[in-house]
Amino acid sequence: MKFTVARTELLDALSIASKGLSSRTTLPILGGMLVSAEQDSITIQATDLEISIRTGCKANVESAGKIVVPGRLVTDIVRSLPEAAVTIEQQPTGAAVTCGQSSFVVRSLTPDDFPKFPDVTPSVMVSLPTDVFSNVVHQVSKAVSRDETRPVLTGVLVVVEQDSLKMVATDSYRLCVREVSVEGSGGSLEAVVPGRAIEDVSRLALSSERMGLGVSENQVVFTFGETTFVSRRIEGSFPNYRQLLPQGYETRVIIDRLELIDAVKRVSLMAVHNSPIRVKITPDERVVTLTAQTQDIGEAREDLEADAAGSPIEIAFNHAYLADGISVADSDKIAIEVVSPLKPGVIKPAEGDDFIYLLMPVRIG
Amino acid sequence: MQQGWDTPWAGRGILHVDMDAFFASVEQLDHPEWRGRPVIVGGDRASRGVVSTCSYEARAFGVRSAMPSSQAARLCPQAVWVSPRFGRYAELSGAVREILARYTPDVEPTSIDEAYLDVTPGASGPHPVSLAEAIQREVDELSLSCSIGVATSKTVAKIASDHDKPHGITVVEPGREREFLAPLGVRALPGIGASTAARLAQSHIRTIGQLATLDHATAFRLIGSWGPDLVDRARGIDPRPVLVERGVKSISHEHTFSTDVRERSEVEDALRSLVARVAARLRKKDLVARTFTVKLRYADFSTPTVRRTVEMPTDLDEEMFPVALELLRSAWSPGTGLRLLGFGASGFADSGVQLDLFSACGPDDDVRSRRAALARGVDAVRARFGAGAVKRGAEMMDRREDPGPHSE
Repeated sequence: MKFTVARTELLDALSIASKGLSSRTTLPILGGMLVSAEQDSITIQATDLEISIRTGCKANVESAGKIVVPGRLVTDIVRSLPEAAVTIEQQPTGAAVTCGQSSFVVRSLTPDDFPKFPDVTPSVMVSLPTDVFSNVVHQVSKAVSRDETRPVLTGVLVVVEQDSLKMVATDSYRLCVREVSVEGSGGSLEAVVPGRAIEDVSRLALSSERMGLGVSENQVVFTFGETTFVSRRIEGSFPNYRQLLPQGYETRVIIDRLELIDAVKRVSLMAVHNSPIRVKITPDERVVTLTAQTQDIGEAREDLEADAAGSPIEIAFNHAYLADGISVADSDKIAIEVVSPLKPGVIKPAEGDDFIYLLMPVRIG
Repeated sequence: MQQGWDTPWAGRGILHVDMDAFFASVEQLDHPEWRGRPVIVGGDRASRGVVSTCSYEARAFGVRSAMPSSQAARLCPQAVWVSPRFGRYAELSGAVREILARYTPDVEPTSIDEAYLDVTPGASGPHPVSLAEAIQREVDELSLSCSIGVATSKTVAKIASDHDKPHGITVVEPGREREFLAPLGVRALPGIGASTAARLAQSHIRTIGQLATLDHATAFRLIGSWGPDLVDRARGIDPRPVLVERGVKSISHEHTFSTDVRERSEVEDALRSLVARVAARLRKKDLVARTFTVKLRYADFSTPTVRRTVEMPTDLDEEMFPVALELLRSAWSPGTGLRLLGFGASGFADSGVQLDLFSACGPDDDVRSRRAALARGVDAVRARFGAGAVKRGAEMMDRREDPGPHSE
């Protein structure tokens, strides 16, 4: 096997595939990438058995063949090379990588041991604008749980219905729902996708204008550009989030989002070790007061002007969760709606319901 | 024992302030018509209530605290009988503590009507006896009465405060502790109950003076692991500091095994009981902790500690025990002899609990809230009926003596 390819195109393909490399050292083959050359292109595959990535690029193939190279090492080598043609050739001792005056030989592994790429035949395939998809992932992914004991919460619920795309994520302390309209999706589907996989896709796919999304019984498949990205689906039913959304509110405040996020970040400096931020809303005085204090460290307080209606209330939130919700609610003015100090608060745009960030308070002793 | 207080005080100065018939005195304060009459604060005479406190007038008839109400009613049928009003007692207890705090920041309240004060004068501070007299006068102005023991240690001060009740000040001058304690019966020593006293009586030890002559090994044999400490206290030696709870940084308990243990079940049971004690004290102080420490002492006296900090602060046994167990297992393997086991909580956070969306239908449906409510219920039962009144199944196997609390 021997081929030559432009360094940038090779590096792009390797960078995409490297998201599929396993960090487990117990199965060395999973640290490798399967590189296949035939006719006028190469394909590169990587898998950690949870996700599998296949990508590729055009190449000048002198002789066809397959080889498994150590993924991170080869990616690092190619990244370090100057912008020129890179030749990769199979040799008895391994894979030779040459570019200009530089040459490397890296030990290779047997292609026969490399796991077969999953054979996914999706029942439905929809088409989505990549930038919209990536934005929605960015907004909900903060709420994805990292707690493996409740697997379904480590995923994002993705729902495509006619001309709308909706994603929901929750770690049981907060829940984020985002719905956007999309044109020409061409179908409907619903799946719970592992959070890590969907975040990787949202970054990798950005160079393509549109992306495909399909689901089979056990797998989710994303296609963009030359890349096919397959992830297992998370089994189990996603919690019925609709019943968690409060039906009304006791107090509602409309506030400038950027002013609020800056204030929350300042006050958070005194909310160390998970101390909460207290949010006190005094509608009569049109003021929202944020306070935080930590034993033996100190305290902070900030008053913000705001349009508020309803009863005065004080409610405490985890400062990081509060900051996450405000930072991803992308509208100039946001509304905060609360029912009681022990019921979830809602952060949403001042107008509309297409973004909802539900946040459980901290009960103060 | 009363001496002039013109001689300077050498060493530590500890006061034990003990309110006289506190609940009954509060009732007489609020009901002037009851002054001079026997007043009994306690449970119902008809059912199986007990006397909580009685006025000195009632004591003259033989009525005592903790006596069944029915018996008290027979002894003193003319007594004024009232149910306790703890809110009011707590209010006046607070007023007394305010007085104490004016004399020293080092106040350790041990119950609603008792406190230790560290008033060590140093080179030029006020004499402890003058402070005791001033405190007693200020308490008098509240129309309440207290007795005060003045000594160089907690044990002696406590015994002294009981020496001349009501409204006494008993001073045990530095160096005269043994002389003061020697003639007293062993039961006067805090910590010696009926069963220990009976065991000592079998060895013909009836006075504190006799107890003080024992060597540590004999005391250990007679009384158990606590014996050497008791003998020290009988000699007037008690280095325990006045524990000021203000700004507590950590709460811990430890247990010294009477013989080295090697069995996993025994060590884990001990750990469970230590965790339960620490958790109860956290709840009592409305604190939640994030950092947990397990302390071990091996047969060779090496004393490693292992600690871990968790994401969510807690005050619940169920959440601390798995962490404690993991720490224990990381540092100790069954078969290795262990002399001492300790468990501590630190890293206190503002007492706040992150609520969970999926148990938010009502905070009371939450597993965690239910556990918290259960824990507080158990605390309340124990506060009223004693530490042994309610036990977890796993603790039923567990018969250990009460290890002393530690705060730093």
